[in-house]
Amino acid sequence: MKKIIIFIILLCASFYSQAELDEYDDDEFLWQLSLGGFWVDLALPELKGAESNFDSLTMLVDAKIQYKRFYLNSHSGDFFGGSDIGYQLIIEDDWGVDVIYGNYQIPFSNEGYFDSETYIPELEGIKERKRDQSIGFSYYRTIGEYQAVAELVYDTLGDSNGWVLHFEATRNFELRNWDVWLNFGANYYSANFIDYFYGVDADEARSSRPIYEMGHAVSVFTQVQANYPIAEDWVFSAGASVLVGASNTRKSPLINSRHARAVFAGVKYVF
Amino acid sequence: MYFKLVSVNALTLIAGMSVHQPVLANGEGATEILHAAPSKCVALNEGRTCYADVKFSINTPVVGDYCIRESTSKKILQCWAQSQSFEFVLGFGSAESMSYELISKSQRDVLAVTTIEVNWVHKIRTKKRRWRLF
Repeated sequence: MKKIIIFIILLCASFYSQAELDEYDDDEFLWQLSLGGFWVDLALPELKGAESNFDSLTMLVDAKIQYKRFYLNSHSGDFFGGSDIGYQLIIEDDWGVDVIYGNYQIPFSNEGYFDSETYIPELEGIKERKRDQSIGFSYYRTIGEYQAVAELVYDTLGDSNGWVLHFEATRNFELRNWDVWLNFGANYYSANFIDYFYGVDADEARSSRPIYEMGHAVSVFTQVQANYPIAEDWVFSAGASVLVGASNTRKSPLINSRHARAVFAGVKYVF
Repeated sequence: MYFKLVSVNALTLIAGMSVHQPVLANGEGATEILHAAPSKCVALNEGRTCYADVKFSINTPVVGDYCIRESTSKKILQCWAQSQSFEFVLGFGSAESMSYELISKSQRDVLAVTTIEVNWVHKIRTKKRRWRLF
């Protein structure tokens, strides 16, 4: 299955690369690096026995690279959710299609979310849930004042053998020099995908942790972020995000809650 | 960090006592007759309109009738009669750097020019504005 997905994606990329040599191709190599300090209050779905709330000052390193139709947006902060790598297959005035690589679920292990190297009896014996490495297509379209995106990705390079369908819409408000955007959407996780994270296999079962097989699941989320240019190279950012998972997620013997939230504020220097 | 226009900053011409013989005064001791603060406006991205309340301080050598106008469009922003020292607050909003001129109302000579630079922080406009919680 994975080989078929990779083959299809490479075939599409190759086909459109030949067909779409047009005015959008830009040979300029663009890069941007940002370094900042942020206060982050993060509450992830509560893993049984593990620390799931994190409140700290953290460093943030952002890297953005753009060359021809390739782009990379990398975020170091865990609250930002990793990297986006993409290739713009089709670029039209108000819509387009990209091939994308990204992560859609945060990993954890028997040490909790961030390898705390502490023994957690409630999670003893579970296998590591590695970060998904999903590849797929992103279709985006401008609808009125909104930018709508639909992504269909398969965990091609990860271990779940599952797929995710992601929808979202973003509305941007320019309030003088402030940039404020509001985003909301939903994720549909295939049974394989979500079961890899929250299911309990036979070899992981204990007396207090029964075997659990998850079916498909849905989550909904909303985010808001505000950015303001403090000076020529400095930007203030603040944001908040809330995610709610489906009720069957809560039934997993591994977690106590199906909510997640993040609040952050800080400044970054843009090189 | 990325300059759209980085030149002609506060080019100050002083007319001296006579508007017929303007004198370029960039040396020490020269009085800046047209001063704008802030002289820079920073937007997040290229192409964004940058907003700022810019205060023009004008100190002319002699009492007279003066106007401030946009250099390109020649649109008059405000005039003052029989004045020598005065101030003006402009609600600046532009995606590009803009120059403003102090002129003698009677002679229409340009006595001084100052430029409000528009810069921006991000070279790359983020394709996607969202971030994943996970």
